[in-house]
Amino acid sequence: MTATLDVPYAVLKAARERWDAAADELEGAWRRLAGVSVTGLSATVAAAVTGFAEPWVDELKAASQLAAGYAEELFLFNRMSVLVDEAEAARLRSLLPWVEHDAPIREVGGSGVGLP
Amino acid sequence: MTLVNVPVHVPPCPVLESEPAAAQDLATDLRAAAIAVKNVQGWASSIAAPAWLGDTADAHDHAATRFAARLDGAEAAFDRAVTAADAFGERLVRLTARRTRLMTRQAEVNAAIDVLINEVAAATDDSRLAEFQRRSDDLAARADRLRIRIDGWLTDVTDAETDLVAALRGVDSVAEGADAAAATDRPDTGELARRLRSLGGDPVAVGAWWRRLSRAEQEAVTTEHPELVGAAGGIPVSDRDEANRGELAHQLDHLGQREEDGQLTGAEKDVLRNAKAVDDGLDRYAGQLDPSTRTHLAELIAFHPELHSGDGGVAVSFGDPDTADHVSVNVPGLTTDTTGLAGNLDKTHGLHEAALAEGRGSVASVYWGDYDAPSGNPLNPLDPLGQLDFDSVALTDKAEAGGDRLGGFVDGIRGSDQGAPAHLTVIGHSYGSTTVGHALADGLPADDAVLLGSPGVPAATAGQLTDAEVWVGSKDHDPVSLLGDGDRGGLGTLGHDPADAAFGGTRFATGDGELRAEALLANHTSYFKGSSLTNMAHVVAGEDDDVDRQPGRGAEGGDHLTLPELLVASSAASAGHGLAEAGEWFWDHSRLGGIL
Repeated sequence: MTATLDVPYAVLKAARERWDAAADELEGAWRRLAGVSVTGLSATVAAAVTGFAEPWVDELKAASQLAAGYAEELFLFNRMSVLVDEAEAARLRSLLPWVEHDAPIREVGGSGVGLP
Repeated sequence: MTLVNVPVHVPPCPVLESEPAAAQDLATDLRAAAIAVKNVQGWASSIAAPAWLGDTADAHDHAATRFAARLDGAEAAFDRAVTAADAFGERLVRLTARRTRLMTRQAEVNAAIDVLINEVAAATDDSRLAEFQRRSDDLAARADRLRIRIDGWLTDVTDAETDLVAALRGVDSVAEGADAAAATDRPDTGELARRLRSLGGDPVAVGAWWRRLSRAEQEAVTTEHPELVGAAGGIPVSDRDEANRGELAHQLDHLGQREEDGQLTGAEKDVLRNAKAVDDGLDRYAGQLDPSTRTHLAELIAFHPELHSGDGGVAVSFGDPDTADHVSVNVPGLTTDTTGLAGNLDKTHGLHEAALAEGRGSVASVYWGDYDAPSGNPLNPLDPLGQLDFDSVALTDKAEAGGDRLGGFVDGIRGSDQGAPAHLTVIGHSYGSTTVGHALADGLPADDAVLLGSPGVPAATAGQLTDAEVWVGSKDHDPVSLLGDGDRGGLGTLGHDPADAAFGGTRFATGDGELRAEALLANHTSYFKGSSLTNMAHVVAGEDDDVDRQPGRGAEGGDHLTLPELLVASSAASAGHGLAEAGEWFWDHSRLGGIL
């Protein structure tokens, strides 16, 4: 049995775009940090800057990829309109703003049924 | 012969391995990343589960709630890193100034030692032995004191680096970021931003409030709301520069990423284009450093890439207006948009160097292109946009609105001025002079006003316009300067010709420009050169007596052509160069020709 989410299309679209924008913004940030300017700084300072930047580059890159993944999930749902099961629907719902956290999840018979 | 123990030379103060400008660049990079993280964290927080739910299962499973919490650690870490980098940069500036003083003293002491050595070597008997020994003892004491000061300076350099390194190491892991986020002394940026907004129109109050904030609070609100801090008159210009450079770098990063993904909207394309133009403009002068602080000479005082019908708004200063003895603000005219920043910065920098060369103290020269100037050039028959936009040129609405905005900007830099008030000159070129005229009529607090190639200002006399001293640069073969209402008529749509003798301003020598149709536009756009530039530099530096003057229009020796006469005469002059047809075309097709 497949499932779907009862949420307006505009909500899904806005959420997808915003997660995508978040991914872009964080990607810009980690790339900036990865190339952080140490020219003209002493070796001691440059080493500390690099030591600071490295873990945060990794963290922001991971956060960016996570956001991009959320955007992609919402994009796929926009196209397919159905989900594997209720658990998957709940997971997708968790990507939406909190005000949608009670959005109904509805079972749909068979497969390939679109949003209402 | 008795020996005299002359002290050895004092070694030079070591070169700073970390440069102030490099610390600025580091802080800009960190701010750009911090701004991005805060933007995303702020959005995620805004759609997260309410805080009162705590870490319930529902809230815990909510993606944006988890995401906001995760990024909060990064935000706290970046806040600390930016604050430490900023403090480090400021310490390097002070260390640079101390080093300069120490090097001066070192040169003096070593020169005195050399003199003594030479005199001792030249002595043929012991008659001056007591004097030599006394001078030697005195020099040895001075040298010792200087060595102690140099050692102290070296210790302070090490301390500055140690503090920065410790601060960065304190938050160089995700776990430490989470600890920093949980700290109870984190600045409340929401409250800080609310306070700044509430003080917005009062630069003096903004400046007083800003000075009371800790560095951590200043940096936290700067990266949370760079657009607020960057535009807030009263906040020190160097801090506004930091906010604006951080936001510029953030826009380049974020929109550059969206550009790569092919996702830019039309408005975002405008913003990115303007941001790139500002970045290029600043890059051209990145190697120019303030000689006393060794920080970047150029400061980005305003950055609004989204404003003015997509043209963007920007203000850049060469030199620090807060500390300079003389400040000039030049306002461009027709066709101003941010993509033309490089050329306008070149003109402003040229004026800066010329004014500095007057030797009358420090100078800050500001280019202010932060109003919605008419987009087209009605004098160029090859510019259809100019023909279309002529109505907005002919009307004064954009000059009035721009004048209001200019007034706010100047009030802002007056509000952050340190020490004795700077001598301030406002300069308007073309339609920018009309904009300046409206600002002056509204009480712009300037000491001098320079109106270049002016199509008119909103008062019949300088005295009615302003209390400032009014200077006028108008080439007689500049057609725009003949648009104002003057001694021989003129359209007067934008106001009175300030070069008219009856206006009562002081006209300075600019030359007339060439009398050929194809040179008329060049005449209008070449005031930042030659005698005109020299005279402006005198005005900006307060060397009024050195200004080479010329009679106003209508005064004895102030004969001139009217605009119709100029257009006919220039066409005839062009005939001699085989360009008669171009002149006739100009006459027939320009809106001015049609009107006059």
